[in-house]
Amino acid sequence: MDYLNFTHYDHIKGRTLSFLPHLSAPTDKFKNFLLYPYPISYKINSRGFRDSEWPSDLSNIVWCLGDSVTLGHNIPFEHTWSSILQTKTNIRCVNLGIVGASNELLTKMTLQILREYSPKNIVIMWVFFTRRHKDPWNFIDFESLDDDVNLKNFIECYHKVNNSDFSCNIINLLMTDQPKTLLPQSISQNIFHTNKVDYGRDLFHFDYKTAEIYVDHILSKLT
Amino acid sequence: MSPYLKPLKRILVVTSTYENFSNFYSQLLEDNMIDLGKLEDHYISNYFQLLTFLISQQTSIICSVSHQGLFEINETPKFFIKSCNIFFQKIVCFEKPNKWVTKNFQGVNYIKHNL
Repeated sequence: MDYLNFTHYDHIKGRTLSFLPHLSAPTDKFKNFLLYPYPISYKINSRGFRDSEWPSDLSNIVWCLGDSVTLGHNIPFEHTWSSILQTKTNIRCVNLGIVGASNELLTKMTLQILREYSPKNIVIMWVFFTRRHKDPWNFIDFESLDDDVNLKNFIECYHKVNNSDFSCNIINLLMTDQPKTLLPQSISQNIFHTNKVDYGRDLFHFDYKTAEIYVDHILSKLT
Repeated sequence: MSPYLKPLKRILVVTSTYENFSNFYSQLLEDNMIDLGKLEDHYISNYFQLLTFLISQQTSIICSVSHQGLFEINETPKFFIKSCNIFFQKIVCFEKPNKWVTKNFQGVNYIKHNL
């Protein structure tokens, strides 16, 4: 299965996302939506990702994986951590954020990149441990399984990526609001986490100030 | 303030008629008073349509509504007016101070303009 061309799947290709708030939304959220001071548009490339087209030479790019936080839902693309990283490094950073992506999907995407592109740097922003899926395109958010099972599932994903036979600098980030303390020390010391310091238009996804904290860490780890 | 993007400037111009706004817009362009960017002016009697339009046009800086159009809104205009007060950083009216406009919009700036 090709995990880097998700628009090839009709049920994804055909879907549209609504970014308009419901008119009966809570006042604070609605106000924030209206008052958000920066322009937001969603331009999707031919592979279905919120990014410009991939360059023809993929030998020196940074692959950025994650979910809607990485995609930059409800923030301008220029405020995404991948875009800020690209601005600061002047190295092409490919945004592979997918709304609702699970850790298992991120694992499979990463393994495909490792197999097919021999990358130098991959940055993964791991997502909610509770977010799992039965098959890659049938997303299930917050499946009500035991916390231990969810944690075990994440740890398996982490090891599949970080203990693979491929030679690549893999930088691990953990999304905000995640209980890093639950992780084994061997993993927690190799995975960066911070709290949100700002919010996007929906008062949920973080904005550029939080992204900059992540980017500062990535810059210290890039090779 | 973001170092990556300039914040939007949103201005609502309340005029008596749509034609008045067109003249006003032309004058703004000639005087280079405001960096207009992309201007979208609309005369819509249904406030839900206008609200949807405003939200979808994140890059628009100025939007006009007709004074008369506001009067013609059959649905309750309170929500719309409240939303306009939230959404626009500045609300201007280039006619002489208008009691109805002043009453319904907060902090209206009046601009002298000879049509």
